[in-house]
Amino acid sequence: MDSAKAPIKVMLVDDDSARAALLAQALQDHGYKVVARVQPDPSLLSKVAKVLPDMIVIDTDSPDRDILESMSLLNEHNPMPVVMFSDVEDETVIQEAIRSGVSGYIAKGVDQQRVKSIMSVAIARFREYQALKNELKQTKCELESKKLIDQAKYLLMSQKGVTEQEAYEAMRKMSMDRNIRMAQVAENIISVLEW
Amino acid sequence: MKNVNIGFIPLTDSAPLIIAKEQGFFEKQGLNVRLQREVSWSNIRDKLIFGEVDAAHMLAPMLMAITLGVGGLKKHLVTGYSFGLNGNAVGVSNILFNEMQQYDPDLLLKPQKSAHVLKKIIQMRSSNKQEPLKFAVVFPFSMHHYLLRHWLKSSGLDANREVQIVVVPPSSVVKALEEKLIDGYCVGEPWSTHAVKCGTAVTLITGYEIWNNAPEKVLGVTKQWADENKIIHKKLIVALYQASEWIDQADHKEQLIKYLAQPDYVGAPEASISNAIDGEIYHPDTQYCRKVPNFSVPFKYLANFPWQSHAEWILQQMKESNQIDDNIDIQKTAESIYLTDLYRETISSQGVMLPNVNHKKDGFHTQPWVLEGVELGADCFI
Repeated sequence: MDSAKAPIKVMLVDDDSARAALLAQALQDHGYKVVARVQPDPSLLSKVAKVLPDMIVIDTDSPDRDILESMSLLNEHNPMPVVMFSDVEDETVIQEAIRSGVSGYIAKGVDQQRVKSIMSVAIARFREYQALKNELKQTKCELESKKLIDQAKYLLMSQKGVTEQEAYEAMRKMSMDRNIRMAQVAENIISVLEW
Repeated sequence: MKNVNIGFIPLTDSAPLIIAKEQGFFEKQGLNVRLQREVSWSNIRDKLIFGEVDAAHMLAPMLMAITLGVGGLKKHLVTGYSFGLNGNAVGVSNILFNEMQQYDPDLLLKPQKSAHVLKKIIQMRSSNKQEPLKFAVVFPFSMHHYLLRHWLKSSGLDANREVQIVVVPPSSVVKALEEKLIDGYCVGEPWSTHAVKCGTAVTLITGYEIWNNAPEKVLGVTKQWADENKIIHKKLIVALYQASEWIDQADHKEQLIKYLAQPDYVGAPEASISNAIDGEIYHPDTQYCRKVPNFSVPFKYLANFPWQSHAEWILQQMKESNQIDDNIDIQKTAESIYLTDLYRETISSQGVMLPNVNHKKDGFHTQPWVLEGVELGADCFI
């Protein structure tokens, strides 16, 4: 087989197994072969030695990433992947990777174009996943705010004898006058009225 | 106010950055510094090289490795400030310690004998055809690595052949010991104290006892940034110098520990940080067994002076561990990375007396000594 066409063996190292699964699927859809998916931990090096990947894609949130740096020190008979940024000429890819929290290690002789394309897929998935997580967090936050506001409204209605509309208007005015969030106003009201 | 982003790793020796920020030393220099906490040395390297941070708390040998392009990335880095001296310790698993203790029951109190006892065990293991012992260091290019090698060499052990050295981040050392992936380690604080307090390891010897007053971390910047931002660089050095001086004052200790213990900074228990600052080498069975007064030196003995001779020692170790080519010019490389003149010019202008030389001869002074009117610490090797 033409060596340039041989499949690149990719190993994913990610603390977040859901994100790793998404990325593995995406890489597969792009025609790349993910040979292993592992969590970062102290035994990482022996896992790499077993799999002998051509490329490792790793999330940079784990301190265990440093374990992979010792690959550059291991003996030359067995060429291990080294950090990818040294060979990639396109600095934007590197900066995007750093900002998205993903990095790569590649073995000698792996085709640059394919490395770049794998990294681009990884960056896109990491970003997408982060956006999804942020959205979830925001939804959760909004739900919690709504719960607080409802509770404060109920306290105002039952203890001050106002209508729901009046309670809401009073809270909104407070929020605007003091320039604080509605949820904060609600929290203040709850802390006063619940006693 | 000028904005500066600085990356750091949550270790007790990042203290000057935290204090310069919290006590207003950066602000007094007109600098608005954002401290960016990082989880790995690789992240610090990538972010510094590609401009995500302007400066970083780095292992001194990383600057040589990156400048020479060892381990993948190549960029000319420089430093004009050292975070202090010492602070590391070598420890071993309880199992290995128990084996070692059979050769000498008082091993805990005899750090200078530890490598010799280890040698007996390694020879025995080798004749039994057992696997070599594994020692962890925090990064391939670290004082931890070279101090460990020097300690092994002191008993005639060959680090290239007779042990296996691997990288394990300090936060994973306890787990690696528990899973028997490593037998020993050389790490800094608060992790050395942490491993011992967890009951998984015993400290054999401190870095100070391997090389009295060894270099450790430095403030790394790219040469390009240093050339383009000379005034800001000098202001950073002044602020960090003032912070180091603040840290050295005994009556600031309580406040210092409180800052470091904050989750955004080092985030370790106050008691562990306190042990580390006081050089109390803790042992789980005996509460604490001995005190090493110069366990970490943040300011005195010119601890912040970036000696080119320190850089040369590091480069020599890199040669001996086959990390760099034999024909690399050590003196020239050290000069191009360690901006000793910049430090002198900057700190002298604050009215501080400093020696006029960039080198000192290490390995000759068993006691503190005076160089051009300035007190320096002992500098002997084990």
